[in-house]
Amino acid sequence: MSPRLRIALLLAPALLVVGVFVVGGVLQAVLQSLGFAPVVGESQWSLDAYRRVLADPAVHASLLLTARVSLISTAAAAVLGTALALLVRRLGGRRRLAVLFHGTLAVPHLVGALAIGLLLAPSGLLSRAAYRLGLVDSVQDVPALTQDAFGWGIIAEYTWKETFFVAVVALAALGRRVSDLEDVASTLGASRWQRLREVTLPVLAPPVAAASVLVLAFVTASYEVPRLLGRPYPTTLSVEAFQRYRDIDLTSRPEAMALAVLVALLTTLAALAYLRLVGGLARRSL
Amino acid sequence: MRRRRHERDHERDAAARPAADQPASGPAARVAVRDLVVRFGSTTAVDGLDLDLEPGSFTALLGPSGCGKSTTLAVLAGLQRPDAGSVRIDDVDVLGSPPEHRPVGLVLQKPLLFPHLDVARNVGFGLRMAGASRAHERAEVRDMLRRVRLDDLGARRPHELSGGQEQRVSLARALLRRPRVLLLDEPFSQLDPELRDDMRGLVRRLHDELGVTTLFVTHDRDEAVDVADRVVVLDEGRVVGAGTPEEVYTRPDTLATARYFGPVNELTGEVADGRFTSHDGTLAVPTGATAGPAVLVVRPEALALAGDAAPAAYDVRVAVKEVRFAGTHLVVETALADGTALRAHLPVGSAVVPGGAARLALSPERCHVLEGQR
Repeated sequence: MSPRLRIALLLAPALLVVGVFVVGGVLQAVLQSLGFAPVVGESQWSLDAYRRVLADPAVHASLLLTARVSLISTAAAAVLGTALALLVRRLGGRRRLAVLFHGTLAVPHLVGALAIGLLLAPSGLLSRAAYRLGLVDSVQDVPALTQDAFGWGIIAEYTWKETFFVAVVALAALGRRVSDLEDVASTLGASRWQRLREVTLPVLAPPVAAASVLVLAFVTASYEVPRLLGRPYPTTLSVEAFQRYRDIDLTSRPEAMALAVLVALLTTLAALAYLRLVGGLARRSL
Repeated sequence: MRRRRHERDHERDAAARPAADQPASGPAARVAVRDLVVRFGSTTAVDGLDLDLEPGSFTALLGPSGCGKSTTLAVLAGLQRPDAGSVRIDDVDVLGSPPEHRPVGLVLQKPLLFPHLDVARNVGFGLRMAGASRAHERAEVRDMLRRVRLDDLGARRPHELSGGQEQRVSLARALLRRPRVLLLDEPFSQLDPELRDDMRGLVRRLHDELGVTTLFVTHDRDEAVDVADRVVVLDEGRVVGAGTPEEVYTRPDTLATARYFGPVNELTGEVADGRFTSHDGTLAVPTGATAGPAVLVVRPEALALAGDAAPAAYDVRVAVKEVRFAGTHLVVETALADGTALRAHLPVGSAVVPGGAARLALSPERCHVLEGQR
């Protein structure tokens, strides 16, 4: 048996699952978004669903919220994750703390959302602590941080979880080689801040950027956190798509699928950007 | 009145590199290392090392892997804190100074170029850190790239360079700050042999042009002998020999040095009345060494096949054990009457056959007696 055939056979079960559930699902979404819905007697091909969702103010609000939540969460996670990795390296004990980070990564977002809810909800730990400390007259005086219009609760959950993801990536990149580059920079007259600004951060930038693109793609498309911590309106694109999908009026199914396809396009763009960054990173490390 | 921008730049550039306009021999510094001790846990990497580098000298720090030579270099560069000892550069104790405040340039085994910067920005890094203007940086980088024969590669990225080019960029980067001491830590060990020869020549030429005090760490004795004016041999964290390449090769201070410089014959014996006599009594050569136990060392190429004429005073009879062809010469393994092994490098075509006997001529001036060693 040729090695190629052997590899293909070994991969076949996984490829079959991916083919049926992912490619099949995406294909079905694309078809339905283009009006192919025999269930409700529609089989005319059109871009009407796209026109309708792109003209819908609810979708505009949803797009704005999705962009705000994903960009702020990603930027915060990138900055905090990088800072955390640098701090951990400086404190030493990198391996032990890295284990702690990995443990945090294993916590599902669903659990994370519930935890953030318990912490930030109007009757949550934060409000009660502020009340007990006399900082506010009643728990209602604490500004709403969950089910709020801005999406602070969602941002807080994603920032918390994804900070550790970025920190793990950054810590892995902060190996011996970066230390050596910093040593060389110091012998070339670079002070501690100059080393950070001119060497460490630029060297860390590609892996952190690659991790950030993954975070951005995930946050843009994820469902459970905005569903639990966000308002019913406006809500993020994925929640909006799911709400329309579950509408008793089956004619709104193509709009749901159009939204799903738009989300998939956004994440595909993010994935392409990721591959480009990783490719550049591989060339640099040659 | 507001000063013109180029006047401010000029002042800044002068501050960035005060030694730039001095003659090439000006910046060289004197280095004195005393009683240096570096420990890593229970392992002593450097054990009471003393080292002196004269201004403008080119010294090779030679020794096997793990003998403490790279650690010594790291201490000089400020990247390793010693447990004891002092390091003075021009009579100034620098141990309290961080690396960025030491007048030292460092080139390591790996080029370690900054991957996010092109060649020109890599080379100009030190000047930028010192606050030099872009115009000054560009001019200096251009000049340095010309010196290392990389004139046209300023815009390339490190991953677009060959190993030799990368190392030349690394060298240019270290030299652009006009360090007063240049530290080279096995910079050519990852290059192929021809490129290594080329780089050795380049380093030597740059040293002669810039006159910087240079310390070159290597485990390659041929490289050390080829490039340096002075060789310091390290073993287990201590200096076991020092001198010009010829001195350490022909008149080593210790057996360790003699052995490190390649095959050497060692004959144990006694010195008495100005003569060294081997234990079996077959060999006796005059020496200035003091009386007592001693070891006579003689290189294989210092032995020659005695002619058919009457035996000379310092000829020795040997049994030929093995003859091997080594390209430029024959390696002849022999033994004295008491079984002491003696290796000779003889011209190809010499009349020696395994199992036969031969007479080897020994030249007293090419023998070296080490006092008190076994």
